[in-house]
Amino acid sequence: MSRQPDIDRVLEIWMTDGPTAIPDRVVDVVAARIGVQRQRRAWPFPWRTTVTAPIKIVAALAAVIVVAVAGFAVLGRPPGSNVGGNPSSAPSPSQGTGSPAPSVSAAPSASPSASAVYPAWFTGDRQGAGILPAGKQSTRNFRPGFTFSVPQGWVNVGDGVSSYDLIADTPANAAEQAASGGLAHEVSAFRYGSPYWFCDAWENHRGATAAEIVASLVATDAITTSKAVDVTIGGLTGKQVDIRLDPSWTETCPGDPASLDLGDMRTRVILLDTPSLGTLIINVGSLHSAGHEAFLAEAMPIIASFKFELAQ
Amino acid sequence: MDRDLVVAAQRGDQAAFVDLVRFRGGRYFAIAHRILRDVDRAEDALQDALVIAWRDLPSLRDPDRFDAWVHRILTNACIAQARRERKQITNLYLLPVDDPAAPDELLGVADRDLLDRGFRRLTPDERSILVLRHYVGYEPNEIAEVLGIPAGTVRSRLYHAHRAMRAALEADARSAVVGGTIR
Repeated sequence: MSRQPDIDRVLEIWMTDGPTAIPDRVVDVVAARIGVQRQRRAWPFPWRTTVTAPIKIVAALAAVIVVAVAGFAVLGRPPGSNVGGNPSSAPSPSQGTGSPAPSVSAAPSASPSASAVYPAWFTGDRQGAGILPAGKQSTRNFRPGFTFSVPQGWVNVGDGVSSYDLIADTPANAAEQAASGGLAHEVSAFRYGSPYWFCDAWENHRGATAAEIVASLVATDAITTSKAVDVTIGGLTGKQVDIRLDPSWTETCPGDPASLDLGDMRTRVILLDTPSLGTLIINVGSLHSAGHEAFLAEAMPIIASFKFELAQ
Repeated sequence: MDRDLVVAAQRGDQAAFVDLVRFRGGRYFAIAHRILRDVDRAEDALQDALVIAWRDLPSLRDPDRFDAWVHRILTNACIAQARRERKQITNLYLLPVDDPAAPDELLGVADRDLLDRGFRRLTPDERSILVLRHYVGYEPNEIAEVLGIPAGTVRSRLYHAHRAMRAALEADARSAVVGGTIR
C-alpha cells in the first residue's frame, strides 16, 4: 500500500474486520444479571420505587427468586448455549406488580470499590467509596470530577460517570431504610438532559441551561418553587431553587404505589452550567419535610466546597 | 419497534430489554471488540455496560437517544476494562489477531498487523475515539457528547491517534517487533 496512506480510509476498512454479532452467552448473562439488578429511578427520589405495599414486596421477592433460579440455570450452561429461548415469552417483573425487583447483588458497577465499607443499616446499592473519612475527598468516576470536604459521618453510595450520591450516616436515614427501604435525606450530583423531581408524568422539563430548566420548573403546575437565586460553586455558575409538590396538587404519580405520599418531599436543586457537559444538577433532597432544614444546614457546606475539574 | 422496547424497558420490562440486547447487541459488541481487540474482554465490558444501562435506563429522557446513551456507557466500560487489564508484554508478535483479514485492495495482512500493533499502543481513550470516529461514524462533536469531553480534546486526541496510526503503517514490519505496553 502507499506509504502516504489516507488514514481515514485505511482505518475505516481496517475496522470492518472483526465480529459483528453478540455471543449468545453474553445475552444470557445479561438476562440473568438484570434479573437481580434493581433499576434506578431518576433522582431525586429513588426511594419512591422502594416504598411498596407489603403484597407488592412479596410479589417482587417471588420474581427475584424465579429470576435468580433461572439465572443460575443459565450461568450453569456451557458457554455459547442459548437457553433463554424467546425472551419475550418470559413474564416481565413489571407486569402485575409495577415494582422493580429489589437488588440482591452489588455486582454491576463501572468500578465499585471492593474494600468500601458501608454503615451496617445501609441495604441499598453499594456503588461508591463507602464511609468517607473526614477531610478532602474526590470523585473517581463522575464527570466532571470534583473534590470536596466532608466532616465525619458521610457515605458515598454511588459514583458513576453520570451520578454521584452522598448520604449521612444518621438515625433518620437508618430508620427510613428500615421502614421503607428508602432514605430520609440524600445529596446527589448528576448530569441528565432533562431531570424530573417528583413525577415524570406531571413535569415537562425542557431546557439546555440552568436558567431554562429553572424556568420549566417554575412553569410546572404540580410544583411550588422558591425564588431562584444565582449561585457559583466550584467554578461553575447557575441557579438554585427549592422545590416541593404544590400543596393543592392531589394527583398520584402514575406507576407509583397509591400509598406513596409525595406531598411531604422537599428538595433544594442547584443547576450548574458546564462548558461541555451540559447542565450539572445537585439535589439536596428529603423524603419528609421534618429535618429538611437541618439537613440543608449540614449538606450545603459540603456542596459549597465542591471544586470541579474542568480542564479536560 | 426499538423505541417501544426502550420505553417498555424503562418501565422495568426485562424481556423488552433482553430483546433490545439481541437486536442491538451485535453493534455494541463490535464496538467493544474494536476498542479492546480481545473477545473475552469485550464480552466483559459489554456485560457490565448493559447491566449499567438497565440499571440507569429510567434516567434516559429521550428513548430515541438510546443508542448514543449506550455508546457512552459502553465506551466508558471499555476504557475501564482496558485500564484494569493493562499489562506488560515483551513481544507484540505474541498477541493474537482475532480475526483473519478479509482481502481487499487497500490493506494486506502485513498492514493489518501493523495497524493492530499501532492501535494497541494507543491509550484507551484514543482507541475509543478512533472507533467512534471510524467504525461508528460519529463526528468529533458527537464523540465529545458521547464521551462527555470537550470537542477540542476529541480533535487533539484524534489528531494524535491518526499520527500514531500513520506512523505505525509507515514503520518497517521487522523493526516493529519491539517490546511495549499494552494499555
